[in-house]
Amino acid sequence: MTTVFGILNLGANGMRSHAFGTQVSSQNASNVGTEGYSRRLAHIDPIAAQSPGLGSRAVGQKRVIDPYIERRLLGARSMMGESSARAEALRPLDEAFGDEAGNLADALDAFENAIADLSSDPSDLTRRNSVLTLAEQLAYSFRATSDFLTQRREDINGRIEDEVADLNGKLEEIARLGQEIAKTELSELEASDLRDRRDQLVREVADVVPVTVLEQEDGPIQLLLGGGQSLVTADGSVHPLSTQRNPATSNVDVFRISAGVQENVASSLTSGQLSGWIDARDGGLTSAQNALDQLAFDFTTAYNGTHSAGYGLDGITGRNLFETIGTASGAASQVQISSAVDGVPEALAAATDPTLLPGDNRNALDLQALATSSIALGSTATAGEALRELIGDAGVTVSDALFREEASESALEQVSTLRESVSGASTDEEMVNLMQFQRSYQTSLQVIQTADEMLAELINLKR
Amino acid sequence: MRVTDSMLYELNRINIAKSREEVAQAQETLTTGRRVQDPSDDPADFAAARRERSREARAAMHKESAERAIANLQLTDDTLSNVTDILNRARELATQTANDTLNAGDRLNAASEVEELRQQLISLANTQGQGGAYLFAGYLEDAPPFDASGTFVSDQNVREVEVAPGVRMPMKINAQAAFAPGAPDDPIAVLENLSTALRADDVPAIRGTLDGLDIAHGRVSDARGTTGALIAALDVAQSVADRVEDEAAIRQTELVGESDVDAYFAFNQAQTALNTAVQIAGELPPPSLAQR
Repeated sequence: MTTVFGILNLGANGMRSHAFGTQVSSQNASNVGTEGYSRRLAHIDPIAAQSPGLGSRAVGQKRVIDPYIERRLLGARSMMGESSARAEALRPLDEAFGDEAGNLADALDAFENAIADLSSDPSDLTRRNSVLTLAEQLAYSFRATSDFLTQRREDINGRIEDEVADLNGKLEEIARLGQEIAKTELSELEASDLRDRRDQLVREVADVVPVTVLEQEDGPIQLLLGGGQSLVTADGSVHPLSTQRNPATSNVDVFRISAGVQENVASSLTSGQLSGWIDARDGGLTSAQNALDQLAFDFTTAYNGTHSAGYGLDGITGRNLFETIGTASGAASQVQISSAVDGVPEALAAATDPTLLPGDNRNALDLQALATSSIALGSTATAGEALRELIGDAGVTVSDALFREEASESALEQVSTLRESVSGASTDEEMVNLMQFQRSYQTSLQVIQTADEMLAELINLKR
Repeated sequence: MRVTDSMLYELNRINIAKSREEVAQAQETLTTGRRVQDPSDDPADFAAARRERSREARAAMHKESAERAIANLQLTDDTLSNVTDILNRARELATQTANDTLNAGDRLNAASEVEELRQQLISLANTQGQGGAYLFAGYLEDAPPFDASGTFVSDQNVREVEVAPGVRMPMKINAQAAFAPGAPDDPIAVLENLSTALRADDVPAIRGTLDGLDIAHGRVSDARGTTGALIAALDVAQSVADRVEDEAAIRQTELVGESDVDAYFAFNQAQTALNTAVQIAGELPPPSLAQR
């Protein structure tokens, strides 16, 4: 039965629900630029207990999100994380093999030409000193390039360790938030902010490793590593990642700890920054290092072979030009001018016959011929050609990484725009909503005023 | 599509970042004149330019080797020209003194001059070239090839230098080609014979040296011919190396360089794009109900 007090109550309900709507819109308006914020809709229902009802009530607020876009966003962020980490890690190859002063290719040219110069006047000590100086510069260039590549790989190992530690902190926070959301929502309180915070953390985790999110009805989520291993379970337990040095490679490997057991997750890291770094470290940087080592080994072996067959101005034979290197592995870091010739220009073996000194230049000509001999890449290329192939390969590796970074950047931009389009807050929209709620609030006030007047008139009837 | 405030700002942020990157790149191209700075800019062209750079350095080295060989051979030619003069004078003296009208005193005087010519000849045969190396010595170039008595004490090896990829050329001629030391017509020996014959006032013996002098003269002329031919060939090698050096330099510019006009145009274009993006930023936020 309709009563005037019922109308009064109806107006009060309207004022409460529209004040709530104003609060939600204001919240949206203040978070127009907040990263990870999902706009909220005020959920206002009619109270239809008795006909014609008791007005409206604010049921709560609802985050506007599209789960499909959210999933795509996680994938796009993982791809972006991977490609940008790879590009950043591989970019130093440009520096290692570019045209900077003291580069290996220039040092090789200068050394080969100094040998040629020596062959035109083998008795000249100035030319002999020049060969020794340029051989030392070339050796230094090999070592410096090798050290530079080793250092970049070590940088990556350090970053993996730091990133895994940071990631574990985020996993703990995600698990904690899951429990908090469940508790809050059980008490029928609002947990949208907590959900936004957790979603943002999940996105940050997706930057680092590929993840799948399984939503639970009551609040917590299950977070899986790309391959399906749990990182955070629905009951709030965390299976953190850990790092360990591989004694064989000296590189850092990534593991997942479950029930105290470490499980290598290399095969599950198919995207994300960790994948990009590991790929750059074990791919492009290692290939360049191996090719450099092989070249250093082939080069020193060939020059030592020819040099040790010749005779110095002092009539002594059997001396190496560079220190002997046992195997190709790590060769570039060991290139060093041999102690038998270092500082002893007379020891350079330009002659093939010790009785025809000092003018015999035939061994110098043989050394000179090494510049155009196939001494590298399994006797298929000259040292210069092998180095140029290495430079070209390094260039292709970096340019491919940059291309892929650009492609995933565009893909991420697209998905981010799509998400923003669905879940982002807009000033204009919220302005309209505010006006609408304000107007409704005023209307509810009017209802109360009308009911009040009706009551007053009722009371006045007796007088 | 629903467009939010953040989308507009983000789009502007991306545009400004991209434009700034392009301006930086265009600026680098403009100031360095290089389109390809790093291997990753264009791996194939970068590696090809490196090959040209090595080719340029090698050609410069070949040019230098050829120059050095030419200088050495020119000195050889000058020396042999002096040797020819000595042999001509000796022949003149032999012809004059073979005449019956001269007496023993005249021949004794001539003998002194011939002995002097022989000493000059030994001295010429021991001429030192670049770095003090003896021109007509073999590999034992740090010691005179002929001793005081005119006996050859060196070797006959000829040093070669590379003047083009895989092409080696001699940078000297050996003593055998110029003097045939030890042979009956070795000019030093012939002059000694002439001097002995003059002192002995032995006219038939004097006449007997004329053939030897002619053969020695002919040999020196041949040696000069060989020297000239070598110089000519080295000249060709030098100009080929010179051309290769220039070509390699031009090719490098073609591979990794950028024309000033193109670079300037690209720079202007990038700067205009950046200006526009910055101007748009100044216009943000767009007109909104919030301003009412």
